[in-house]
Amino acid sequence: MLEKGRLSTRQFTVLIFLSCIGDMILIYPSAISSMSRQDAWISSLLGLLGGLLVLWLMLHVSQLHPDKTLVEAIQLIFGKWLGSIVNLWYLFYFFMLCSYLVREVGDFLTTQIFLNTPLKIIYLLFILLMVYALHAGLESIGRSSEILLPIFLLVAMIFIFCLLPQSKPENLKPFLENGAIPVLYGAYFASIYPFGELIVLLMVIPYVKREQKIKKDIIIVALGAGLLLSLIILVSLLVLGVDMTINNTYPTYFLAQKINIGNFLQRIESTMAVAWLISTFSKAVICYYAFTMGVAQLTGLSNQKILYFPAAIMLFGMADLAAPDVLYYLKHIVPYWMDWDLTNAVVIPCILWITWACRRKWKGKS
Amino acid sequence: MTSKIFLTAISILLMFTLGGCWDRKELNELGIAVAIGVDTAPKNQFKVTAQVVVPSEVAAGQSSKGGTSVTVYEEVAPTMMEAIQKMTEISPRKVYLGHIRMFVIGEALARKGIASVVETLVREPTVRADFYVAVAKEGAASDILQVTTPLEPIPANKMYASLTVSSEAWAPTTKVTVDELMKTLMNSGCPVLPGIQAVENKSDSDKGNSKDNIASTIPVMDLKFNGLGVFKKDRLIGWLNENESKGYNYIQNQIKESMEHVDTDKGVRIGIRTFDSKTDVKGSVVRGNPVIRIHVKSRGAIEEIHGKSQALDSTQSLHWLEQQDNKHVTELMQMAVHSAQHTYKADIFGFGELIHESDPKAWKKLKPNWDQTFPEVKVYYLTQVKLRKVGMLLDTFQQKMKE
Repeated sequence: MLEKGRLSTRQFTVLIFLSCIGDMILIYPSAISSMSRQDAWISSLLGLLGGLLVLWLMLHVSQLHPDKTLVEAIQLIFGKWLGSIVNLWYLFYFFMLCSYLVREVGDFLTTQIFLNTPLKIIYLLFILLMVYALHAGLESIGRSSEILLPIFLLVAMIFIFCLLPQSKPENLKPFLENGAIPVLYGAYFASIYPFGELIVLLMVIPYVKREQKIKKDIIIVALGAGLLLSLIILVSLLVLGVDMTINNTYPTYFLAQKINIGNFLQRIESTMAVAWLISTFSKAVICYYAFTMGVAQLTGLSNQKILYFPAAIMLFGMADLAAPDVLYYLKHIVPYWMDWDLTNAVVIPCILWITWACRRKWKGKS
Repeated sequence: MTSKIFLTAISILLMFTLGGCWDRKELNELGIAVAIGVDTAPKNQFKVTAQVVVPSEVAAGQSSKGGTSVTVYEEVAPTMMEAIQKMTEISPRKVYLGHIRMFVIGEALARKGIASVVETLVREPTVRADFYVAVAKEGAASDILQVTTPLEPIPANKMYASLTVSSEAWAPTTKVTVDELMKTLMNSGCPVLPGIQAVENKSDSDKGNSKDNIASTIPVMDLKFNGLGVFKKDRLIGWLNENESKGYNYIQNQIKESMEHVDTDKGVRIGIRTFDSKTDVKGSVVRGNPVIRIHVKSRGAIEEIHGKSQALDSTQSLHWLEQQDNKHVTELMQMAVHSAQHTYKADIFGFGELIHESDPKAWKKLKPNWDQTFPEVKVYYLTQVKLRKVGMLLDTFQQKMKE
């Protein structure tokens, strides 16, 4: 066992909540509403159902070998050669996911707050923080996420409540203007995008102290995260209207700038950015953890810690290489990324499950 | 052991990042702009005017040195941001746009099209989207920003405040923030922006026999919001007058409080304060023809009666006045609609969007020819003013006086 730390169920569910929201606060509203326009909130709610189904599938797959991480389980089920290939695929996915998160943080901060600061400095700081977190260990990550969650929730609640007075219900009309198809298409995105990427948590799940109701807790927490995302999309549509939501680089930040309660509570958008950084950081740390852990398990290293630094340097490079510009990952890559998420969160786990079932049956017969 | 080396390495690396602070902005190195004005300039350039606060003049507790509390910089450049950056040639501080309250567009530029300048400000990350946009009526934005104001030492704050107050308490102006403006433009609607004018007051005559008569109670120049500019897409095409602007605000449900007057046929003029006004506008399509129904509900109180022949002695007389007021409010709205439909042919009320919301299928057919259809849209009005209060007096005593 490479990992000696153990997470409590609560810490694990907090991590699920934060990673589910992750980088979505900023990019989710414009991504979903560019598909189903003013019905994006319906898409998001429908997507929540689909997302829970995806999550249930992943949890089920993780139960095939409850004390093994995804990488170990794949090795066991697919065998050494095929397993290694599938594992390399997954490790690449974790790595790319993490570098995109780093990239998003860098681009967001340099467009909105640190206008003259080089991107690479933001990457460096963010990655060093992740290295530090990983070095402190899985338990520390779990505990710190418990501390960060209330801050995150407080900021998110302030955000939503302070914007309600500015909402204009007519922005949601007309309902289902273009029929049900765009709404369902949006729902497909909404179920895969935030929930599919939770597959990284299968690298952590064996290190969670087993408790009775863990599955139920996870589903409830994911439901909460999905509802929060739907609320954010709803507020964004209500206040900004659909065209501004789609056309803004970071609609949520733009919304936060509009908060003004009696000319007194205003200009608090930087505080809002903190919430987003908290959730993105949690997600990125988990991806980074999953990547280094996976590499260590695949290559049979006795200590994964020596991988932290090389992986950080790779991340630093990849964050820069990942996309030529903002438009690329906010607009062009989204549909393809979705398919990638679908493959990794639904298709491969399904194949894994079927193979496992076949093997067991075959073994039982012989 | 390795972990110690590791930690040391991290802390050394972190030290590098502490040294560089690219985005530090010292307050005393920033010129905080409170208002920006844009005008056209020859050779397809922009003339940008920035009203920048002079901190020593507005700081509380510090004695002012007797100068103006703002200073105005002006530059001409091919793009807006170039002009603002170029201001450093004259300004000792870099102009910072994070605290803009007003954005004034010169009439000439407004007639050419405002979309690009609006986009510039929304795209700029340091700018927040909570400022108001106005058009310098019959003038240049730079002339507006130069005027100093009493009561509020910072003219941009004065404009912001008087726009807020007058749109709430008097009604012919309307406040438009930049994101609302952008939203209307994106919906290919026709926005409306308040007009602002620098009005010269008659002064001097004989100087009141004293030291400039205590430097005059009436300033030489005043900033005044006057009328609403009508845009077709992003181009200014004309102005609504005061009554039409009021009617516009009634239709847009932007009136909180206002004063109206009714001239009755007995030659009496009645002043009525309107409050709690609420307008409901519904669009629908009847047999392929778009129809708009406007329903105004408000409460009123009698404030003034000028004339002897109007009695205020019964519910009937109050009811009669109510009807007169209804007629008056309806007329205001009719004037606005008439002007939009026939003079400007611009859908400033967003009737098209209302029909889109209520009947998306019919809208698909109407949309391509909306410019032609809009002037023919049938508009029905229903005004229900409830006069319940008569102030501190019951019947008017002007009647009893003659006996």
